[in-house]
Amino acid sequence: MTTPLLSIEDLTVALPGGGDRRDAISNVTLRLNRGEVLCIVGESGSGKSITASAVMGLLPGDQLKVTGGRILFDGRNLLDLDESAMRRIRGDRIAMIFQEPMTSLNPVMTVGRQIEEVLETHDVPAAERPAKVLELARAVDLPDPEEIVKRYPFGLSGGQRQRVMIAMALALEPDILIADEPTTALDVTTQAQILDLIRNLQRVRGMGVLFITHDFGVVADIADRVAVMQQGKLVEEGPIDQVLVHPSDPYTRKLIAAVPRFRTQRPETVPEGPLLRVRGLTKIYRSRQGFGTMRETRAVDSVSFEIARGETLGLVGESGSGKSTIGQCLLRLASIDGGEVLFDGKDIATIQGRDLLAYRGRAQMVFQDPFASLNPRHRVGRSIMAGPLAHGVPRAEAERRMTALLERVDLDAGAARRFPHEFSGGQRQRIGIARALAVQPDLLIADEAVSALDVSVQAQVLDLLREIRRELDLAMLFITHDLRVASQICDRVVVLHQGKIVEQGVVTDVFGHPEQPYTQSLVAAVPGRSWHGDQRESETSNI
Amino acid sequence: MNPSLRRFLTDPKAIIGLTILIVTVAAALLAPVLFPRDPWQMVSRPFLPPFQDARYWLGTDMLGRDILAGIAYGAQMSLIVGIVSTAAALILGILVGAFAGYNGGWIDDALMRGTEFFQTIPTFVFALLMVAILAPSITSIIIAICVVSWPPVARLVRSEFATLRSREFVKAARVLGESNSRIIFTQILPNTLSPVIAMSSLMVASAILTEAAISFLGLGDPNRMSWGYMIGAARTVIRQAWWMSFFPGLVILLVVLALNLVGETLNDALNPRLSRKGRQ
Repeated sequence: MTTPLLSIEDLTVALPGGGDRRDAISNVTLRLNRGEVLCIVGESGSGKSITASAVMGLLPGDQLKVTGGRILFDGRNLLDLDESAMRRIRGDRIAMIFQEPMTSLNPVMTVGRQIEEVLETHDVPAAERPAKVLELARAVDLPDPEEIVKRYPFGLSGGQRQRVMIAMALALEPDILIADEPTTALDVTTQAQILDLIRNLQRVRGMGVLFITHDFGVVADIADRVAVMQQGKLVEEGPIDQVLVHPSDPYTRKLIAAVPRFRTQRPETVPEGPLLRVRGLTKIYRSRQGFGTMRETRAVDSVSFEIARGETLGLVGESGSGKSTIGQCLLRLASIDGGEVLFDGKDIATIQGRDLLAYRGRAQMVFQDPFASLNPRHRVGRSIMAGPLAHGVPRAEAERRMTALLERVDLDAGAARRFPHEFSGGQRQRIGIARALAVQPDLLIADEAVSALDVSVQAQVLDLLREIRRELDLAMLFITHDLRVASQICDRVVVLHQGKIVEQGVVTDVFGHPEQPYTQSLVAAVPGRSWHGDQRESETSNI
Repeated sequence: MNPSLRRFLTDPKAIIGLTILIVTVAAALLAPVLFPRDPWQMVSRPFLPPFQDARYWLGTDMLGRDILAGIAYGAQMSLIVGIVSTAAALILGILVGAFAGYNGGWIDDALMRGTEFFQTIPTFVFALLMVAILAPSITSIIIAICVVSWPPVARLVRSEFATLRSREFVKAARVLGESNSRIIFTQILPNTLSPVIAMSSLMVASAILTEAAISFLGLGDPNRMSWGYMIGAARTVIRQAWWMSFFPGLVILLVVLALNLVGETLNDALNPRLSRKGRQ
């Protein structure tokens, strides 16, 4: 057996005192061979990023201390190296790319200069640098390399910025590339391109890639071997086919089962007439450029759709498609610049005062960020009762509703007296749902309501939303960028692109047989497509 | 106990600051009991040096008035001016800042240009001018200090409101149908108070300094003993009677230092993440 490129042996990193567990990671042993992609996959708090930071020597020393184990690279223990020796290895031999390509780049320096700086730091002669910068820009498939290296980061798209980051990481032809959730902040089509790029570069250059992600779909697309982590411990490790198809550990099995998949069963049709009817909805953002000249952006351009009671309509699209803006417009958090929104037959596009208050008693929203959507200084009970009280419901009745709702979303009654920071992300999202339901709405808008959650929690919250919709006969608008999630919960979907509707219809038709090229590219870019297919076949063959 | 409060009370800097402040408040409250006689009255021979007569421990001034009694009664003046003017400035600043930050647009523009107008005038000269126009009295001093010290509060509160306004929990409150005033006062304001509280302690300190400076220049309230007045009166005889200006000056130094210590530790206690970063 060949010696591995990098081997992590019994690595333990202690958490500062007072945490919920003693070690951030404990006794993790991993090998990375030359020319392979090892994916570390796990939910938030599993210690996957800490493992990567430990290899790079980037742990904040005053908070996280390595208390045991070795990291062997090139016959040397990286943990024994001093800062200057470590600096020579970083970038030169081991490079890293991060999740957020905007904050990882210096906003006041051209991207070419930033790539050049890496070369400069590692003593590449000045004469060779410009040519090398262009070569790198070409290697990561940046369009028009000569031109793009002169631009600043804000002039680049998210995907292009991530390509620049990768170019910087590759500048010195490292042996190992560590990628910490490099595609999480990107749109699904861009994500597919970046994954392709990393995979190709890895093959061409024979690097070892340590790829950290929470998404099993991404794992299926890129990994050779997979390591699954849970709460700082390695629970399972092995070749991709084995772990994804025949997982041996119960936690891995649970995680894989929770990954949302495309639904093939056609949803039942809803006979009722529409509760919400949107006709030609338009939202224009104006920004002033210098004196007098106004630039108009049509964030939402003549969008029309309907939602009936007891039906879930999905709004899907990439960032900038206008899907969230539509949600804001429907609840009048943003003004409406054109078209009509008929709710129960009445146009709510311009209502004010008492009418608007009455409408808000019937339409509610569940927000994306479970940490920002609850007032940190209010107890949970107060947050849930705020809605009914604002609508003139007597306090006793509001309290009764609050208690019933907490029970409905599976939280204990004591939750009412606690503050939001005492709850996990999934619990907070349940609180957000209870708060929205407290005013007894007819229409519920969920804006990326499960996007910030771990996959197992995500499945639970989706179940909860589905049950509630059925019990209360709600009309639900589900806004998401994740096609798999949309496929799970929606009856019909609307696909948006740059403010316009591309395609709409029954969810299984739209995702199963997309008619428009844009929808086809979206569906094709969903990570782990081939794996989902395998999964279904293996399930049916087992029966 | 609340973790912020515990962090605050276990910090040695806060303990020193609080001790000095408690002694000052006690002196102000107990002044009529400890020194039943009017601090303006002659009690002993003039220019009595300190630590010679046990009854007049810090000596007397050129008219034979007790320095220690003067300092105790002066504490009343300083604390009243400091606290009342800061409270008034906080109320004004929070109202202007909250209204501007929450509404944005032209309301924000108008209010902030007004705030900047006040900030362009040098604060001390402005305060002095107002006291001179309004006729020297404790009320006019308080008004003057309040008028010059609210703009920073307004700017701070405005920027906090401008960021919190677009937070999801505020949007949620709007969607739930809460009124604007309810959102301002119950949703956003409690989340902006930490930096305001920390700032207010420093504002009391600067109000005390401003009051002392106004009194030093002879524009203080003629019926009330004040530290600034004592130093101002001692100015001409500083070679013969150092103690007349030294002790009131020392007291001003200690009280301002104490307020700064308290303000700094409050800031650390209320923003633990910021302070930890600072210490690294």
